Amino acid sequence: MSASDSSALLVAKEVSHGFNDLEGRYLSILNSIDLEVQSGDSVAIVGPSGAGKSTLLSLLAGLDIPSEGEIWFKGSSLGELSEDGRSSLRQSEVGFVFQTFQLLPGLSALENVMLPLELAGMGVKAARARAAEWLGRVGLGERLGHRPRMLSGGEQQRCAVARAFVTEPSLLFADEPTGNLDRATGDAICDLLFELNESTGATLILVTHDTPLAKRCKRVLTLDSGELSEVAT
Amino acid sequence: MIALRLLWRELRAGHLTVLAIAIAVAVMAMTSTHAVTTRIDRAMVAEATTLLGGDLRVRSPKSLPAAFTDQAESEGLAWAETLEFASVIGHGEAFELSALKVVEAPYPLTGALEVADSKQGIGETTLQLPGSGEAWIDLQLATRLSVDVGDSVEVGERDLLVSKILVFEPDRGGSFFSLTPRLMMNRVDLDSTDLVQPGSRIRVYTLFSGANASRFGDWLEPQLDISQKMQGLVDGRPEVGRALTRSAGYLSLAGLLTVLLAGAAIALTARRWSEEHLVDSALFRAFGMSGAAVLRIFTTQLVVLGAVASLVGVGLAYLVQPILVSTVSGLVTAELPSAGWRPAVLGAVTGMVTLVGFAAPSLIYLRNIPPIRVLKRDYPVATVSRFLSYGLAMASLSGLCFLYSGDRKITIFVTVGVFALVVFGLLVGRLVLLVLAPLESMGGAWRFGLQQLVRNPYTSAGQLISFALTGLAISMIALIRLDLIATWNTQIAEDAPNAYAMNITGDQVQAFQDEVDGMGLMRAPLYPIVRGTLQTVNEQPVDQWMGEEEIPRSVQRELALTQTDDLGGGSWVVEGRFFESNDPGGLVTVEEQLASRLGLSLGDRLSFSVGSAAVEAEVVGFRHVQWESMRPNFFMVFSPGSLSEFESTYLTSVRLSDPDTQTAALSQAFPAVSVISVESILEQIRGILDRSAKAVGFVLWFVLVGGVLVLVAGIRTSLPTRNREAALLRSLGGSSRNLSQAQWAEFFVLGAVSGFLAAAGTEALGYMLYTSVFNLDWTWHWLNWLLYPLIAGFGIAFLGRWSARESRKISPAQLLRIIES
Repeated sequence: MSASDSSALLVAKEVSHGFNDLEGRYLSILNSIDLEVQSGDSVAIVGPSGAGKSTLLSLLAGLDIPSEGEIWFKGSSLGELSEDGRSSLRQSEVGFVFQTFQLLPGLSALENVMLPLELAGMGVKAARARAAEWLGRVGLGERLGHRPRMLSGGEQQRCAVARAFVTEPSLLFADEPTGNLDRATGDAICDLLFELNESTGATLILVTHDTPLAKRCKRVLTLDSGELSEVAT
Repeated sequence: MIALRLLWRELRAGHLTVLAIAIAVAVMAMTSTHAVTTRIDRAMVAEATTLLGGDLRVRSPKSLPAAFTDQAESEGLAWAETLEFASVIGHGEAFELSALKVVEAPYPLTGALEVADSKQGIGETTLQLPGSGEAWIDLQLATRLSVDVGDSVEVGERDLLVSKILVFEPDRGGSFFSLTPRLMMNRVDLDSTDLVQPGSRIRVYTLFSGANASRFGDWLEPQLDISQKMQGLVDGRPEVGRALTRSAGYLSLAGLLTVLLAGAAIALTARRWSEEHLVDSALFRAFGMSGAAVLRIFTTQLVVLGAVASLVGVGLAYLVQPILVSTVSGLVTAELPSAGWRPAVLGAVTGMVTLVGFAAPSLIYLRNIPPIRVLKRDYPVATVSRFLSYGLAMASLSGLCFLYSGDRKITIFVTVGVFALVVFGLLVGRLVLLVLAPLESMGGAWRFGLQQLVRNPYTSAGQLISFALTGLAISMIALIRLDLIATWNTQIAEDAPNAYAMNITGDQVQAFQDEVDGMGLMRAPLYPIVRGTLQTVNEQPVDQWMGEEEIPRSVQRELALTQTDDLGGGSWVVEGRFFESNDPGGLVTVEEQLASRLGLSLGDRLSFSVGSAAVEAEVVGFRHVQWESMRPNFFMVFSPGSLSEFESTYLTSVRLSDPDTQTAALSQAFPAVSVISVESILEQIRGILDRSAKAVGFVLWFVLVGGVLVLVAGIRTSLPTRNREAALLRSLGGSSRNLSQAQWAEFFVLGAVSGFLAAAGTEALGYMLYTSVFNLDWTWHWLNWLLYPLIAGFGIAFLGRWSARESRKISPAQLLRIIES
């Protein structure tokens, strides 16, 4: 199969990945993985710790290049793009939500959300307006000037969600988005994620240990011992 | 621009405060140091140029071509010409061989003459010169000829009226070769004396003064022929020139060490800055920025921050400078000349060069952060090669060294010294950690304290080297202040000789000694003086022996030869031996620098002509001579008996407690003996030393402040990791007492090892600088090997615990939250 044969947003074909350990032995993490994700899908990747979920996520997002196999995004092979080309693709098409939020401590909530827009070259005023709007949408409209230290864990993750959606990406990756939150807060973040997934039409790929969260996705994939299999939902 | 916006936001959040303060304080320290030392240096040079009679002096056998003086005038320089030659001056039946100095306005260009109205009169400054038909004579000539103001003296074919007693000439010089009786007269009378005939041996001194003297000197020097010699302060007035050169050397070294310290502070804070931006960099990459764009953002931030902080530092330096200068100048001189703009530019440039040199590796590291780090914190990052990191830092340090000192030797020594310290530090650091590693299993405070050091060898080595460099800088400056200047001061101590007594005949020796001893004065031994010229070395005429090499000026003329078995102060043997009481005649020791220029070895045979006779001697030793000690010093000292067959006069130096009256008293008692006071020259040298000492002491305070900054910055670099460990320990039930003990253990070990390295570095660098740059003896400071580790151990333990106090006070939950955010 080649990318042109598929209308899928994201296609992974026979993707394998691994690295050499300190003694020079090759450790395989992912084995010949095939995956197609359609536009607007929500996909959960579950599996035990160390199964390679985050590694797969980083490959799908173009943060790293697989040892073998190929990944296509909107028909373009990520492996054939240069590092700068993949960066450019991420800038316009991809958003991230991380387990540890990854907000910059020196910036306010508003400035954190403005950041990807500014990095993409948007003017300050326009970026500020758009970021404020998104913070309003995630319920932080009253906390624009607060720094991360002044926000609760749930609020920090809301801020991170706003930052992920503010560039209006076609593909959103979420790495254990509720991993650092209590159940109630985690649920609220999930509600927000799926609501935005619905309303923006962005494709959502999330990695999680959380079975209830995974079940809310249209598709659930299990990664175990480097093998990916689909669970009927 | 996004980089500037981010910079502003981070500044506002206080995240760049430490780095900004480090740069600003470093630049402020460097600029202030440089500005104040420049001002003191200029004050010293200005004062010293008065000792030369101008900014520049050219000695020649006849007047310089008009083209030279025309050029000087076009450069806006003032110039004057004086003539000096020897002649016999008479009064009645008495005649005396004297040095005549013929002057005309605008002599002297710098400084002023001092004259008295009678032999007993007190010297007063004057701007006048002897008028036509007048002569000013010094006390020595007046005493020898038994004349006073109002008498006349015969000068060649002319009688001149003695109108003043000449007390002080700024440009006369202090060596006893130039201390023959003096007469000063006006040039308008020269022709009428008929003393100057074709072939007369005259020395013409042309003095130049003005702002462009240095540039003019550069233009003039290549055009001078072999008979025309340009004299700066060092060769024109060596006894003061040496003092000045060394003072400038101390100050430049002190300034340089401040740069070193600033570099260490900036390097540490820049490193922490880069570590704090790991996440930012990874996030920017995940958001779609290229590595080059990330590098651009951080480089812009660093450059802008560096520039702004440097300017703030320069501004602060100029703000505090008047206060500092008033503190220093109140003690040393009424008014210091302005430092000009150079320290400001140099300070700003230094800040930027240091920042780039020490922080560039951090920037490259940030550029290399892969975007996957947003998902995997432990994902390996390609580290910047240590060769590049240390290479860049060393290159910037060397460049700055040269910029500040302008001295290649000092630059090489400091660079090599620091490099050796870094290598030695890395080796010792590894070794110490290896030795300490088993202590980890001891449990309790030691385990947690040493974990930090052992498990983070790269961070520990960085801290170790920074702290050691700080210790090195502080101890070197303290040494210069306390040891070097004190050592040098003793060479011209308060009780150093301040007068020479010359032309003492053999039958006067006992009586003169009795008189001086009876007056309760300290004196050097009396040395017989025989004048002789070096003829052969190992039976080869000197010119053949030297081959292509230039014959040293000192052996082109008659030398003052002496014989003695008492070396006295101010000279010591550096190779071979001095004489023993049972040595026969025919042995000689030679001043080391002359010996080196003549290419002499022990055992060589030298032959001198003394009148029509010849003297042969075997070289048995080489001596180091402290020319500035003001004691009688000689190029050639023979073993007793070698010169006994020749007629000689004797020379000694005396410490006069009341130079004016005692000089007069001795001259009255021994009219044929020349007693010359050099107290004014000694005072000038002491003044220069005092200023150096105060300026270096001033720099020391800055370095101490900079040192504390480095220590705090260094400790803060490891705070996040330390806080994480502390939170873990606290959450597992560890008390703040446990934490306190752990921090004591860690910081004490770090400090003690740094202190050890600083002691080693000080000995190595000190030895190199003292022996090769300052030409002084180096004394090993054994006690420091014990004291430095103890002082640094307790000092860093105290500062470290203070800096890490937060981790002991707040709850583990709060701590973890701070770390995570």
